[in-house]
Amino acid sequence: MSAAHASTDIAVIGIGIDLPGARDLAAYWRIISSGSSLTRPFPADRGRRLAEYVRFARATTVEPVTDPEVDYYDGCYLDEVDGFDYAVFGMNPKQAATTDPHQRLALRTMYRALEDAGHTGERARGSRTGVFVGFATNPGSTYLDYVCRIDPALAQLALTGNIPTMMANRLSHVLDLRGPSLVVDTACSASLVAVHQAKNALLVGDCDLAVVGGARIVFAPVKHPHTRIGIEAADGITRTFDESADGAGFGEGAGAVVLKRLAEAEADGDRIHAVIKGSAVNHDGRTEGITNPDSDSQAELLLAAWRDAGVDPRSIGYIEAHGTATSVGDPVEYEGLRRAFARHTADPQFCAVGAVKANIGHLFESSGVVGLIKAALTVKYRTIPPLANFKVANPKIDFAAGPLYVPTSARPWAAAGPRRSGVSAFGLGGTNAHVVLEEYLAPAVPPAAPGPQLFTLSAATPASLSRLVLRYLAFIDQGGLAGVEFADACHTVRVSRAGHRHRLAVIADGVAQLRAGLAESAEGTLTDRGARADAELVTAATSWLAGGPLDPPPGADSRTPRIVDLPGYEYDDTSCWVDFPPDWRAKLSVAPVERHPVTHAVEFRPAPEPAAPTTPVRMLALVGPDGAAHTALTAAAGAHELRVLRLADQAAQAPSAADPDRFTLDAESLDRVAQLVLDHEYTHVVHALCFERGPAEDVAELDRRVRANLYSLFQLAKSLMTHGVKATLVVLSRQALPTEQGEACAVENSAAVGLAKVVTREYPYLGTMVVDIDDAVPATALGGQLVSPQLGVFALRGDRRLREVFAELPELARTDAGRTGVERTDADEPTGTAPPGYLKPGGVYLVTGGTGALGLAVARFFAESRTDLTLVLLSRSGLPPREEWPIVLAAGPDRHPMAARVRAVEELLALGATVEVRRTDTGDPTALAATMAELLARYGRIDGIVHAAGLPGESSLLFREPADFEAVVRPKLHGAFVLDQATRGNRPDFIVHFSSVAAVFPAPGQGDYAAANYYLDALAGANADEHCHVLALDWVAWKEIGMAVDYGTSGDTMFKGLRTTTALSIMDAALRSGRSRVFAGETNYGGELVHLLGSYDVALAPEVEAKVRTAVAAAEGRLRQAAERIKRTVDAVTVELTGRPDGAYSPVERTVARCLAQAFGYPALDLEDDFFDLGGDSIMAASVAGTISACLDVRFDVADLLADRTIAEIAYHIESSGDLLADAGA
Amino acid sequence: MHCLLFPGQGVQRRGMGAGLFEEFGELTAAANAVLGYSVEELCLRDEQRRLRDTRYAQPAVFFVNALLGRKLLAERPGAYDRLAGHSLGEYNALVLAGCLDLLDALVLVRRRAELMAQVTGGGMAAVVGVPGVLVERALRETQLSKVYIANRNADLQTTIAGDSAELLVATKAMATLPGARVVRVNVSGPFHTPLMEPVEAALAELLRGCAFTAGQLPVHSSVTGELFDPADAVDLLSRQVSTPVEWIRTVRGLRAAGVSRFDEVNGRTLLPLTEGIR
Repeated sequence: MSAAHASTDIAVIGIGIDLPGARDLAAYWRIISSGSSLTRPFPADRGRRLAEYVRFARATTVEPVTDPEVDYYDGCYLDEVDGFDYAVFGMNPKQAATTDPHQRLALRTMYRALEDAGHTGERARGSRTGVFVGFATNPGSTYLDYVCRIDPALAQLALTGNIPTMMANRLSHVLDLRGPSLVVDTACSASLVAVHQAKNALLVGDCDLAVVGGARIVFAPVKHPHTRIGIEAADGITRTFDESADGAGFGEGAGAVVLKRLAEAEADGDRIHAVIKGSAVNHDGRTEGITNPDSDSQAELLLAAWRDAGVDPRSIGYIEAHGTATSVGDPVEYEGLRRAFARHTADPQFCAVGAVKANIGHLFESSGVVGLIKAALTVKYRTIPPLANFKVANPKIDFAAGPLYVPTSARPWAAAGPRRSGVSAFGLGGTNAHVVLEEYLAPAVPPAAPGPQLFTLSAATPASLSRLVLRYLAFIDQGGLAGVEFADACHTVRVSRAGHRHRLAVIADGVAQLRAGLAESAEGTLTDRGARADAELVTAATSWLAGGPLDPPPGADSRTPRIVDLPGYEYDDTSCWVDFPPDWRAKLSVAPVERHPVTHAVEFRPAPEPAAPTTPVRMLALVGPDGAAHTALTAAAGAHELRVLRLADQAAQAPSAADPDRFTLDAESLDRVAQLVLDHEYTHVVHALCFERGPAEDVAELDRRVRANLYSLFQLAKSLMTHGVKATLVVLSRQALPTEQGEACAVENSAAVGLAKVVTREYPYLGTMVVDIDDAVPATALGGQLVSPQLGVFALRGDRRLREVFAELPELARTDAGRTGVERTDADEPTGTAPPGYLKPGGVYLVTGGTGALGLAVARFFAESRTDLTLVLLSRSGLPPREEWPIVLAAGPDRHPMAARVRAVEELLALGATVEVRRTDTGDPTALAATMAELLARYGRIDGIVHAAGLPGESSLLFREPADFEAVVRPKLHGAFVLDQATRGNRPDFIVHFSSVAAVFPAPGQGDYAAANYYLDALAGANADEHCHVLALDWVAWKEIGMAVDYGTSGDTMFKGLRTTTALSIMDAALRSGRSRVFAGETNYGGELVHLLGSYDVALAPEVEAKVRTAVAAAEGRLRQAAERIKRTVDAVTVELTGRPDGAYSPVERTVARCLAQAFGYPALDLEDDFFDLGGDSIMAASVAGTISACLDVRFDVADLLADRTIAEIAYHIESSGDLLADAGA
Repeated sequence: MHCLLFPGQGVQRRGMGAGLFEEFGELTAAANAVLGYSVEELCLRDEQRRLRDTRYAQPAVFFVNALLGRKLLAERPGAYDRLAGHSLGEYNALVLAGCLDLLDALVLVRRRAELMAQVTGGGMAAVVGVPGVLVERALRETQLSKVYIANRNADLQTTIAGDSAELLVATKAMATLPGARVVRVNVSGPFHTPLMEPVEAALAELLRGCAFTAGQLPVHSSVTGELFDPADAVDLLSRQVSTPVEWIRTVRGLRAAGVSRFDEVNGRTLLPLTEGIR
């Protein structure tokens, strides 16, 4: 053998195994060598625990299975998979309970392997140790699915416990291992491929030590036709190479090996189980089907592995086959082996073949490493083990003619040179691995110098420590240390068993003294049995027992101490499992989903007579110079006190102190008004400036009205707020609001309504009432209205009293049977079969805000409906020149702000549309008018307009500057006005104004935005031209695109966010319907905000009101139940509280402790335990704070928790300001 | 212009000032002598949890503020053109400005804390998310006689304080305001309200015994928002305990004076407030 080859040898220096009935090598070897088969029924206890979950899963599938019987496949199962010693792995009980049992099993097995290798604790910390795990999530239930079905809120906590990579990463984290840490997924070959990766990582120097592991648990081996994937044995028994083989039975368990470069392992005194000589990995390539195995590829794999190992294949005496025990797979595997051997030798039947799957079932991803361990043990123990469950060979395999034979009983393995074995693993997807192993011929061990030795044991819990002591006593009694250098045993425990918190030490001269010392030892003590007790040893032991590092004096000789076989860690398992609630049926309500319309109407409906005021009314009114409002108010006031301030004429200068009944529109003057309200305790402030007749005829008049009326209301409201006024703010207008289609109105003045609605949302001490009158309203009716305590938007027309009402509009869906209209399904395609009638062949359509997301969506919808349209897109920022498009597109949306819109425009062109993008600011009337004139001159007629331009409002009125207010109002309000004016002479077929939910149910901060949108609604309502369909759409947030998404406010609020297809369908249906206004949005009755609908001064139609009432009650019920559930859960928690010498704890401390115990699962907590040290993070903090708040009925949020952090501090602050914190919101 | 800000009571945390006490060994020893206990032990370990107590919290915050300010100025001489402090922090501003001796101020602060701690049965709460005018209106609406505005901290943060029982009622009312969040403030009394008036005379007496000099750096008063004239020190600092902290006004005053950048010692409490002031 060449020196070059020797340098690539890898030593297997540690092994961990955890199989049914086998938690150490000796037990595993007993199963192998005796040919035992572990197949048995699924453990009854596990079956019982799962049954309700299985029934739940069956009951909640689309086609429920009602059969209450739950049957499980037989297989090779672990007795339990819930037990785990979380303390060893730095987890808290709750975390552990939500962690995938695969991860827990892999961790404990890999840890034991590292112990076996003599590398844990200080010796491992910071080392360049790699962790390689073979794992894949398999079809069927995962533990995360299971946990989240029980409580979706656990998903966050369960995250790191269920992400596959954490199986490797957590071990690296806990032990501070700095080498590569990863999970390999190649299905059934995964852990053997991981061995290959680890070997390569060691050889290229990525790490100096590697642990490779795999774990397999069958979560719920339920018998159900759909859970079989065809490779599992029907009776759970694996009969590899046998004629009756019908697949592998389920197997559970884990295996792990620790690898090191051979030369270093020898130098370090490691105990070497076997040597990996070489390995190979390949793929079947293109086979008939992706899951079909291929003997050619398998033969190539073996040849490659042998080349890598540099061994003569004839010297291989045992092959651990993949051995899936399928009628197809076994002959293919045999054939691959036969062909490969045939390349080197014609000798028959010199190599034994077996498969541990026949003993322990198929462990899927972990089967490779478990097979490797078996192959290592055959050379280590120099024994050829039998193949279990083998009776008659598969007739497709002619063993007699080939190199292989099947051993049916264990026999000693005679060989001339070092014994060699191989192990194969094949992945379902075609990734194959093979590893070649060789017996390690250990040199003779030089004896150690006699003398006292320090023997240490440690454990994470006292229970583990006492069990370890018993285990070592038994180990000694069974001769476990016979033939072992005593110094080596002591060295081994010191480097691999000394890192835990609970410790004991014995100083002894030899095994007998150690036994005696262990028998009388106790935690935290040094039992000194040494005949010549060594002061240095005592010092080292004492400092270590006190929690320090273990730093024993060097041995008396220069001999390298060795790692020897010793018992592994005794885990102190507790049940870490989330139990499925047995009463799930009672909690499960699969109520039919109630459907609600996606469109609503906002309209004026007759209202009953107003109620009389309950308190005296004192009115202060602001009127215009013309006197109409003054007259009306004076007549209406009757016996109520009324003071009227008149707007100073433009010509007149600011009112002097001598002119107290005049005001102007500047802030100082309106501040004086506010002061007047305070000084004289007016109860009503009447803004009665909107008294013009008919719509503005030109932009100048529009501007004048907006400034005089809307902006004055803005300034007045601001002044009233700044002065802390509490009053009713009445906006009295004359025919600003169309109460029926085509009513001639001074529509500009309607904008004040939107603003008025926002005032009261931002500042509840100003209730707002809008009263829109005509000349025929009797003075008494107006008087009654003004002093009525009921707020909202009212229109008085003669004797009639009307109120703004929000109602359902279900019939829109039925207006056009030819199209799906407002179907609410997500997959709904807006394009119908026939192009909509409102789009003319070859028509020219204008979209403002045309390069915004909504504008482009509309343009696309039009272009898809008809391929011959001209689309004019008005845009504030325009498009880059055409020649730059390729560069912009190449840059992509992340690097060029225009890329998305350029692509969208290109798509419009591709759809056949002619597209013109015009750069025009819709908020600039002059520019917009010029553009319109030019477009009309060019195209002759614009056939339809969609006014989608707009900017959002974003500041409360108190902090809003007039210029910013205007900037939001103008693109919508002035823009709409100019579009309307510009097309007076040649009306388009339709004008669609994009209004907003804010016009009806505005949020604080939307004063300007709501005002402008209310105008759009009124403009549509006032349209009297029956040839031009003017339509206002009050959009709720679009879910997928647009302003709400950009500003992060999308999603479901009082209303459900609109999908783009649904929104376009609504627009389409509304355009076909002929309605002038449609509120486009579905009330989110299932949401937590639905109660807000009732908090607006908008009347709800009976059908809406009834649903809101039901929904609010349901939401309250949910909240109450949730709070009760939390309280019940926390009440049921028992936790031992420590930290105060007298043991006296306040009720608040006890409750807080229970809340934390509930969150983390600890059985005991100290008053001073820190939230973060317990395993908390800022994400958990929210739920823990919520729990504390619910249980103690106090206001306590994340910020409080993050500041306080310990039970003592939390309780102190709650107790000291407890009353203060009482939940004022409830 | 740059301004350095000093926070007041409320920023105390176990572990504050770590490393400083060794660096300023002599000063720390002198402070220990003045206080009669180890300020280092109080700030770093505080096993008896005395930082919860106003009597200890104020000297601790003041002393750590002072060391931090001194260190900062030593590292960057001339970096600051103005100084200001929030409530207790105002003493730090005056000390660093050179108007008041550090150890004299420590004596003063200790006495101030003792006096303030004598007024019990009250508390404070911050109302966040709504304009101050709305808080004031809502407070008037409650018709409570013993709850007051205590700090005007930022456009959307106002602190109210007063009698414990009445404060409970007031916070409930505040929580119903649109967008409002009510956050507890961990202090023992109704600071910066007329309920503190009993302290004023004694404090004025102490202040009169102190020498206030002109100083090298201008300080803005948290009572008036205007420049602090050392000649008015007795009046301004004694009034300070029973009148609202006018932080909005202070920041606006500083900005009007040309301050464009603010720094803060001992955490980040005032900077977010300052950013929240138009």
